[in-house]
Amino acid sequence: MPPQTLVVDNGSYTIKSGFASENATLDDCRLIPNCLARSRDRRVLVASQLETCRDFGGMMFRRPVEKGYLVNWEAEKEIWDLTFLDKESPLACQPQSTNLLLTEAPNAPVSLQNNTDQMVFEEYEFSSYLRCVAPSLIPWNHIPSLFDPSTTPTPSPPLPAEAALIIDTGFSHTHIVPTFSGQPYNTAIRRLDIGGKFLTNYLKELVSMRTWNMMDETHIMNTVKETTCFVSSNFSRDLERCKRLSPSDNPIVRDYVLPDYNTGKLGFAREHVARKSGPAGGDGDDEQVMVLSNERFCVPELLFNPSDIGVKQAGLAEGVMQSLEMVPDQLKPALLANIVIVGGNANIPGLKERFEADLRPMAPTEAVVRVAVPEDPVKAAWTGGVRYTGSADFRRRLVTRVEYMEHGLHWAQRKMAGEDPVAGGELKETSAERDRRENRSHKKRRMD
Amino acid sequence: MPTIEILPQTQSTHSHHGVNWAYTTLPPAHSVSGTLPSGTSGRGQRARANNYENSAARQRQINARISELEKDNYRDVVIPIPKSDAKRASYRSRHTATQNVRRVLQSQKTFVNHLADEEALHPGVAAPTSQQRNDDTTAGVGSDDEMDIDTPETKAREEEDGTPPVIMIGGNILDGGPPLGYARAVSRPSKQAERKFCEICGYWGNYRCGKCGARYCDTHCMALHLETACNKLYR
Ligand SMILES: [Zn+2]
Ligand SMILES: [Zn+2]
Repeated sequence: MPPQTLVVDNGSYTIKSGFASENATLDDCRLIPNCLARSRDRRVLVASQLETCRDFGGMMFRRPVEKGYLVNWEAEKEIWDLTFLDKESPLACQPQSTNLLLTEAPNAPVSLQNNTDQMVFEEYEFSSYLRCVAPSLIPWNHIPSLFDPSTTPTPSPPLPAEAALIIDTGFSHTHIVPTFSGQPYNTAIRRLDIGGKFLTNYLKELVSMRTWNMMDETHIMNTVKETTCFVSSNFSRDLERCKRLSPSDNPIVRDYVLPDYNTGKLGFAREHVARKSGPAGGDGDDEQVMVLSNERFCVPELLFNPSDIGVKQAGLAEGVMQSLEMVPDQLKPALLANIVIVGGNANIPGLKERFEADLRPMAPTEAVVRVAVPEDPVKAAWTGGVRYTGSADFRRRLVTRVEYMEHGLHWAQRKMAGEDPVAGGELKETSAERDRRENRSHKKRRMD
Repeated sequence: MPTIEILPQTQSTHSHHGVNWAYTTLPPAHSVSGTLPSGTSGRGQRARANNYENSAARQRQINARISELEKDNYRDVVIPIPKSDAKRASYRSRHTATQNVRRVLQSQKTFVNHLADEEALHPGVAAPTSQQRNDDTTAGVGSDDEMDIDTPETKAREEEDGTPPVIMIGGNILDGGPPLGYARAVSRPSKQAERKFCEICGYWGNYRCGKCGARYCDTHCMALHLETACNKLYR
């Protein structure tokens, strides 16, 4: 096993990536936009090339990860090549002498897992490789210190939290994943189809219906969302305020001054300033101001009440209770007392407090409910992954390229899943299993 | 030149609405279709609107809006891979891709295609119900009072070689079973009643448009709705 291990949390919005080391810090994890973007002047920017961009007006995106799952390898290869193979990239490596720990979302279709495994071994030729579910890496962080800062992390070798309920609320969707000893409890995993992209698009739609037409300005609206949205602790009260109070008396109202790409001025949020709304007047003031009121909290509210927009799924707190229905009774208290919220939406102000307030009355009265958000909820799977690479469990599941070449895809996948393909001797495959593995069905021999 | 246009039809929602209007504070779930002074909602119209709100056509509109909100771009766009530069050729150690790699790279399948394939291969694998699971797992376990994970019945057994501890329940290793698959992992609908909002300003939508079933909150928003959005809310 080569000494160097690359940990890649391959999200739909960003790739969280860096090399594992004993003393790795959050700064060792880089955020790479997982997309191709086309600017107004029709230049195509790949991944970190977006950082050089100053004009995000009308920018369009192509994302290889669709609905949270790595679907389009044509685009992903372009991004990975630039990120991991280009000599000027800070993450450049020789795959042939590097181990890869790669994440995926829970419940990925097998055909997509097959594609990824084949690309990793046959195209990139990583020396060894393990694919796992991203939320299952969170318990490898030191969970007790999230709730009690006075506790100290366990010395190496690292061990996972015995029980932790992970809420991973990202760009494409939100997953509720009970874990025991770092293993996801599969039948209890629940998904809510609301993620950061949905919230941004909803904000975009509301603003476009009410004031400015922002339908083509996904990037700006994502920034507006990140700088102005919050989760209300009292939704009815705040909705009343926005109805009854004049904007100057309403503490919720904010201005977002839109960026001006002609002069290079960045956008920013500020307290509301009473002025003519709409485009610039003739007084030399060319600020374009978007006034935000109930949009600020009605948008993230979808995470708690997806039915507000007609999505027929339970919100976060109810989703957790649905998940717990599947867990043995005597393990529920340990999960309720160790809830960790990760993913980009965990950064929305007020989310943790509101979740706790919603969940408390649903949980048994005698149960302790504790909720934590790690210091950096976006990088938490990566930091957990780094600690995990130091564990015996990681070494046990890791598949070498030689093993893959010798025993094939199905064997490799069983080893990654924690089964012991060696002790079981020759693997017996049914034809259905082989079809599943080789990603084909009788229906489907069409060209794709 | 501004890069962003202001929509001509609408105006600021915060300016002057609700003049001479008594707001209701009824929780939206219990709100009823009231009668506005202008008398837009007669009994017959209300019934039609009610039917409309629960109709398949309305549901299609809502679904179309939801899939709109899941898109990466407002308009359909094809962003091709940039033409390869000389540097790229050196990324790869080999010059021929394997058959698998060629197939994967050429695939233009979407996530929905992959889901359909998965469903075709594994039709109707039902998820265990919560009742079944509770029956399975509580068998042979001690009293319900013992809720701690460290009770004698549920013990974390730490392996000596540093592999993660295995949690034992009633003499069996805890095992959540295989993954459910995408379709079955989705959360069920909420038990809460659906809330209704004004489709103009976002306040509680206590009134329904007699023509199209859209919700609004007061005469001001009603006027705006009739003027700009009636019957075309979801594009
Ligand atoms: Zn209104
Ligand atoms: Zn109408």
